[in-house]
Order: sequence, then structure tokens, then C-alpha cells
Amino acid sequence: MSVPLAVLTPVVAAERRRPGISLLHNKTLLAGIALLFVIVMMVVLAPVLAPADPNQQNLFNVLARPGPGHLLGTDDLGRDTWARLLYGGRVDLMIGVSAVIAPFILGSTLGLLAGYLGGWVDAVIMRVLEVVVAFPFYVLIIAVVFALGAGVSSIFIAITAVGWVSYCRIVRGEVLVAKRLGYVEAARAAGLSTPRILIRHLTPNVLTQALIYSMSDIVLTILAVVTLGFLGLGVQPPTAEWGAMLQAGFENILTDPILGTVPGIAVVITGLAFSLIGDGLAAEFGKP
Amino acid sequence: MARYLLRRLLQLIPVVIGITLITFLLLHLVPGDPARTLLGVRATPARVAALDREWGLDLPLPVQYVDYVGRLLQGNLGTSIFYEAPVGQLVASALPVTLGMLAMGTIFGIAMAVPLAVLAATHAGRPTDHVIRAVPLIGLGMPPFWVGFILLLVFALTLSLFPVGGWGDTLPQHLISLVLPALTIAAVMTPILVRSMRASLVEVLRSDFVTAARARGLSTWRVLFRHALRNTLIPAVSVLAVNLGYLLGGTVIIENVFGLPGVGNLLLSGIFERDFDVVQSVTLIYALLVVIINIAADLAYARLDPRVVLGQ
Repeated sequence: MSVPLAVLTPVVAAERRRPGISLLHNKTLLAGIALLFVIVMMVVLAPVLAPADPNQQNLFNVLARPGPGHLLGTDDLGRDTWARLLYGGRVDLMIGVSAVIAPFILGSTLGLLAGYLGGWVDAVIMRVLEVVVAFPFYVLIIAVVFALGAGVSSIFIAITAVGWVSYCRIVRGEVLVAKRLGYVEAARAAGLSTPRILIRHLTPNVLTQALIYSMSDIVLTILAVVTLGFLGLGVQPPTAEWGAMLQAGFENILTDPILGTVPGIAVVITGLAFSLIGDGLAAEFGKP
Repeated sequence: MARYLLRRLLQLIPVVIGITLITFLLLHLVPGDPARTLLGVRATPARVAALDREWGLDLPLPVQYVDYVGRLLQGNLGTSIFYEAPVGQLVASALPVTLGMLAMGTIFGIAMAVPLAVLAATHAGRPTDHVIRAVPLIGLGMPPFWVGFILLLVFALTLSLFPVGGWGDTLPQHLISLVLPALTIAAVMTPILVRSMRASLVEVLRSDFVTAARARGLSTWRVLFRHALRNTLIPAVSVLAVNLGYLLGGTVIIENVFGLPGVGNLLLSGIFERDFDVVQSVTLIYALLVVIINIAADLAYARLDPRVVLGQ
């Protein structure tokens, strides 16, 4: 394996440059990023776009139709639906994105260890994984939130407890392939320590797939947060949140169908943005 | 087949032990004392201690776990405080509703996904394909209960074609009340199915045996339905099995939306009534269901594809 460095360098440089340029041609990715940018700007600029206080009740103006005063009407407590939609988006987006960080780190670390070390470490991690996978996603999340009590911190714990398995599977699979490749064997032959090989050499090479998956995971997590909110187990009132808004919409399905329709559309559009980004990333860096 | 089944069942032992360990610990995650939570803050310490003793909560954890597994092995899933009935009996009457809904949903899902996948694969790269490929992107972001909500709004409240909720008393009524919930499941399932079926159909349509069938002069439809589709059902079965946990979990909320007396609603009522035995046992039943259906999917896999040799 004694290839002169001069021969390798131009190839590597060319390969590194290519993704940057083709990113601009990746319409799926660009569309996803643009859509997400619009959504983020809307929730960040909520005070400007929706001057009404999302928690201000007005019992004399409940379930009002859309009009100049209230762009999307009001809910069953007379609160402005448009304002609640934007402020609710802040909550769901923030939880949805930040709640995947812990499972990402935990799952990737366990996958890295299981794949690289093999043996009993792998066996133990995989048996635990099989057990967690046996529980339906929502059932385990609902059960854990029930046990810990409703609220944001319970959502984070439940999603971490359930979500790490996908990252673990993906990274483990990547490591099993990568550890037979030249660079890992070379690092091992050079006498580098296991932690160094894992952190400096393997990690950057095996995380791409996990990162791509994390986009779908954000969609799943937002759905979980919304579902918990709908069941009354998530973000607690009066905080505006899409799931809780859908619950109010469901209760008033006969009198005000808008109330239950609009937050759902918001969830779908947000999910679409992350799915487009995920697909775009997969086309760019994923496997053929 | 029998040997494979036996080996799979043996491999399941550690998984099932793990499942019982999690459902057992679930109760112990509850902050504070479950007896205190149930009886309320004004209960006397003596009353709390008495209930602790009744539930065996004063014993060391390992002893409690052994007791718990011992009870399960005798088929005792505990007693519901809310319904004042054995949980096993409640689950037995709720399970047909959930399984019926899941089965009908799977049929609808396949019925919706197959034409879409065929249309996309036979028009690969053309506008029809692009539109159909957008289905998963939008569909995967839809909260299952919201899909149910929209179906209720359109088909039950506006068009009055189906009941708004409930289960009915006779078999035809049961089946009619399952239609909208099953359509909801199908709407969650279709995006997942279309994606995988389209990909495998495109591949199959390019393969030699399809070219050979075409060369023999078979019509496009015959090639598609007799030859190509069978080969795309195999990956579809495994995709469904992989996503089973997600789909089955989704039924919990769908049952809630449509007011169906299934296992999911039993779980939710257990949660809201703080009915610990119900929550613990229903969670256990769900996990066992996933495990059993996964084995069934493996067997179906071998049935559909003669190349699959079980146990390898």
C-alpha cells in the first residue's frame, strides 16, 4: 500500500470538491432547506407576524371564524389560532430537533462499540436492542411518559429510551463494513489505540448514514410530540403546541373544522421539509 | 420449517425476559409510591402500607420480579382496578378489534399501494412517477390521528357514509365501523409501501425474466401481475414487518380517535385512570404481538420466495 502521496492528493481533492458544487444542483435538498428556512423564519418572527398574544383568552369571542382581527379565527377559549399556530411551531420544532440529539449520540456510540468490539459487547447491546424494538414506538413512549409524568423532560427521556435503536443499528452496520477497509486496518497496524481509532478514524466515516436518518427521525419525533400533546401527555397547557391545538380542534370538530385542520397541515409541511432534506442528503452522500 | 420455528422460539427467550423486565420496571419508574399515587395525598400511611403489602411492593425488587414472572407464567395478567375485571379477560375481548383493524388496514394499504407503485414503476422518470414519489414525502409527516380526524370530518360528518365512532353490536356493524380506522392505518402504511414497492418493481421490470416474458409475447399486464408483482411483494412484507412496531403503536391513537374498544384504548384508559396492571400487561401484550407477527412475516417471506431458506 505504498502509493505516493502526490498521486492520491488530486483525486482526494477533486472528490472533496464535488459535493459542494453538486449541492447547488440537488433540487430536493435545496427545496427542503428553503421550506425549512421559511418555517423557521415564520416561528422566529411570530411576534411580528402574529401580534396577538397566543395565550390571551377572550371568552366573549370563542370559535370565531377567520376574519381581519383573527386571521384563522379563535379557539374554544377565544385565543388567536394564527398566533397559537406560530408559537406552537416554536415548541414543536425546538423539541423535535433537540430531542433527537441524545438518541443520536447514545445510539451511535453503542453502534460504534458493538460493531467495532464485537463479541460479548455486541451480543449484550444487540439483545437490549431487540427487546426495545419489540415495543411499538408509541406504546413505549406513552408508557414511559405515563410512568415519569406528563411534560417536556419526560418526552426527552422517552424519545431517547426508544429512539437510540435506529442509530445503533445503522452505525453498527456501517462499522462492520468499515472495519474491514484499508484505513482502519492501517490504523490498527500502526498501533493506534482503540479509542483513537474509534473517535478519530471511524466516527467521521460512519456517521453520514446516521445523519441522513436523523432527518426522518426529526419527523417521527415531531409526530410523537404532537401525538403526546393530543393525548394530553405532552407539553402542558396553556403553552401553545400543535398537538394540544389538534386536541381542541377534535373536541370542536362539528362547530369549527379549521381548528383541527390547520395545525395538522403545519405538521405535514414541516415533516415535508425535513423529508426533502433527508432525501436530498441521501442522494448526495447515501449509498447508491 | 419446524426446526427453524423451534430455534426462533428459543432465541426469543432472552427477548421475552427483557420485555418482562421492562414492563416490570415501568411500574417502578413512577415517581414516589404507586400505592400513594393511586390512593391520593390524603390517604393515611397505614392504608398506603397495606396496599404496598397487598401488591408486594414492600419486598425486594428481585423477589417482586420473580413473583411477577411467576404470575405471568400462570396466565395471570393482574386485575384492573378501574374495570374491576381480570386484565387477561379485558385484553381477550379487545384484541379482536385491534387485530381486525390492523388486518383490514393492511388489505387497504396494499390495495392502495400496489396500483400507485405499478403506475410509478411503469412510468419511471416521468411526471406520474414524480407525483407518486411525493406521496411518501407528504404521507410520512402526517400524524396518524390527524388523518383519522380528516377522514371523520369528510366521510362521517360531511358525507355521513360511516359512523362517527363506536363499534356497533353486530358483525356487519363491526366491519363498517372498522372501515375509517382501517383507511387511516392504510394512509400511514401506503407511503412506506409505495416507496419500497416502486423501487423493487423498477428493478424487477429491468430483470432478464421480465424481458424474457415480454419476448414470449405476454401482455404487459400479464407480465406485471403474474411475474413482477409477486417479486415485489417479498420486500413489501419485510418492510411491513420492520415498520410493524410503528404501525401497531399508531393503532393506539387511531382507536382513541374512533372510540374503538381495542387494546389501544384499553392502554390509554389504563393510563388516564392510573390502572397500573392494565398499563403493564397491555404494554407486554403489544411487545409479544410484535414478536409473534415478526415470526409470521418470516414464514410468509419463505412462502413467497422459494429462494429464501429459513435459518440461514
